[in-house]
Amino acid sequence: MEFQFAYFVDQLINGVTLGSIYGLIAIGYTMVYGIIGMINFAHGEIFMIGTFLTVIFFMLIIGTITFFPLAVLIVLLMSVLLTSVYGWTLERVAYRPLRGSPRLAALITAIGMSIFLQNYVQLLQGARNKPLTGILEGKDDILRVKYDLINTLNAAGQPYLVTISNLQLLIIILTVVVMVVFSQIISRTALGRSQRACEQDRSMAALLGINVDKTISMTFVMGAALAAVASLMFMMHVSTTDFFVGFLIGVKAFTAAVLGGIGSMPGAMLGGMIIGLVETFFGAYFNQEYKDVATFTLLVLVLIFRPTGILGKPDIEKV
Amino acid sequence: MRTKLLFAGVLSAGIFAAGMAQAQNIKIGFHAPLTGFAAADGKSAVLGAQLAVEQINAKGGVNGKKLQLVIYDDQASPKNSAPIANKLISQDKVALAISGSYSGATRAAAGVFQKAKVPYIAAYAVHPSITKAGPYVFRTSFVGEVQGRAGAKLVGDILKKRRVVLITLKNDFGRSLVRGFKEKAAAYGVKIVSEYEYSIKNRQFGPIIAKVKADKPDAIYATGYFFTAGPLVRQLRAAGVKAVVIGQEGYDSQKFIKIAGKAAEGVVITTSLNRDSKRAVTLGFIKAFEKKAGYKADMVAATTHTAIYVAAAALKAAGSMDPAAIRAAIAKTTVNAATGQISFNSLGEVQKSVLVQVVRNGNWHFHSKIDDKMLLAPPTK
Repeated sequence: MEFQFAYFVDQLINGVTLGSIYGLIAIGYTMVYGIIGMINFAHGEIFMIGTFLTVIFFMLIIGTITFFPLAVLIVLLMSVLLTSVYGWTLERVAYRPLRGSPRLAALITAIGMSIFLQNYVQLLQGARNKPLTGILEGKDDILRVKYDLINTLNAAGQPYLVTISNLQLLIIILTVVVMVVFSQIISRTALGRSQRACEQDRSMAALLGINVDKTISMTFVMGAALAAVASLMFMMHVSTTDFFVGFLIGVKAFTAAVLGGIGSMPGAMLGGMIIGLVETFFGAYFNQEYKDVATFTLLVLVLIFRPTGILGKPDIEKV
Repeated sequence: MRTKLLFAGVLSAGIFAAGMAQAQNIKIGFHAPLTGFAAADGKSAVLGAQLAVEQINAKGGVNGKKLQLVIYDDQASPKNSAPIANKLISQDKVALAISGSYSGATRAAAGVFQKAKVPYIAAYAVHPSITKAGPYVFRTSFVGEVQGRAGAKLVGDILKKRRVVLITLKNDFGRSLVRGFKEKAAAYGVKIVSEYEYSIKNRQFGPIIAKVKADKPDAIYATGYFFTAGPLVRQLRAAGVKAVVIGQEGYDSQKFIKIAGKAAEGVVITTSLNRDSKRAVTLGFIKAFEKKAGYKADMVAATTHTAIYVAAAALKAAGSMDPAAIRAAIAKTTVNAATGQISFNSLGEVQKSVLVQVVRNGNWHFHSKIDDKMLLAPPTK
């Protein structure tokens, strides 16, 4: 019994860490959809660019800044900044010229941008994997410091130790902080107000003097910033990236956004958590191979019974 | 009008001259994933092949002619490799071809080459069905099962580990390795405690690792490539799993050590490239590759390099461009190449020993050598 509980806690920690990363990326999909009703398929690639920027910035500063937490903070800020620039440029170059054109055009452009960004990074950075571990040279050991949570015996009577590492704590805490900050931005600031207004009715918002183009640009910037935070966590955890890494994680995060209710920010975070947990626990108690089947079955079920997702608002028919 | 004509004349003369120059060369077809998810291996494959061609040409080429590679990108996908094979045969009219790609792409191309009766050498694709395409298809690396069997011997006989967990990559590569491993596990006293599979896109192994923690094995036989195995090993060690990890040639890259960092120490693999080799051809390859590529040699580069050496030796022995003669020459050849002494059995499978390497102080080093001819006998049908 004790062992069963310990195993559950161990897997719970795995699930929450995974879910945090999915959730942060999912917000990027959901915010863009909420405002312009378009699925930004290149968002996974924005995340991928974030992972590369993380590696590049660590490479630049790790020699000069010896205090590791400070280095992380600086890399985080720099990569958020530059990833946001990519997000802004993406919208400016590929989506704004097509605003008002049929949805299908925007969708095809998004897929096109996704392919473009993958190949752009491959040409610029090469096809080989970029590892972060070698660059940090063990300076990140502080993240591997573990705290014992439960010390028990497994079925065969051997010790089974459940631990949580600084890295896992960092991922969870950073996600919560970022979530609070962003929901405050949406609900309290002028920018958030314009975003909510654009979401409700873009032409009306424009008539009332809101700069719609700027608001949409800022939405892409915010989505990219969150993806950059997620990419830092991902790199700390997985320690290697390549130009293809955004694809799968993008699909998962997009699923999370749909599951939570596309257009809803808490929904995206919840969707991310659910997908992280379902994947982990299905793998933990049933079959690792079919974890994706479990995730997508859940998605199908939710969409049958709640077509707008868990926290999504039903679309008001504007006749 | 006249200038245009003149221009066209010069142009066609140029093409004609180029055609003349090319006629002096022996064309070797080559396909590898230069873009897409496997592009890192594709790059090593191309560099390894190019290095071999440069070395051979510098020594005067083959029978007075220079070798020339005709390279195409297959993105490791069968839907690209089959048309490439057709193009290499009918358009480029290559003397023979080499696959620097994965199993899926190589399987699809093998059938096309066999049908056209153009000799084809798979450098490092492991799936057993490749050489079964017919007598024109050869392979310079181990079929997955053979290497898996060597893995079982390594775990049970050399490392003396008993309780083993399998973490298997869900593709041709991982599955054929594990088939071989399971086949021989019991014979070496190895007990498989449990078995998990993961997909090639997976980089976060938390759920599997918690299960491995509960299993408490003595050893972990984890199939994969350096870009999946690196994160896996790192996360295993971070979670406090201390069991020895046994890998295969997919790990065989300096990148694996770069990704896993300190966690890589003590990882043991079965492969074809010996870093501590005293053999001149292997040493020469390792040094020249690092100089050409700017990074350390890996298995993929070594085995494509080997494949070109095999091709060159066969072309020399055949002395003609007749595909049947070249095929017969490959089948008979014994070549001293970067990955060892290479010869082929009746199915076109390579016969050589397995080299075991271990990570020590951030580099691959010699661990042991598996030479058991019975164990390593490749399939003959």
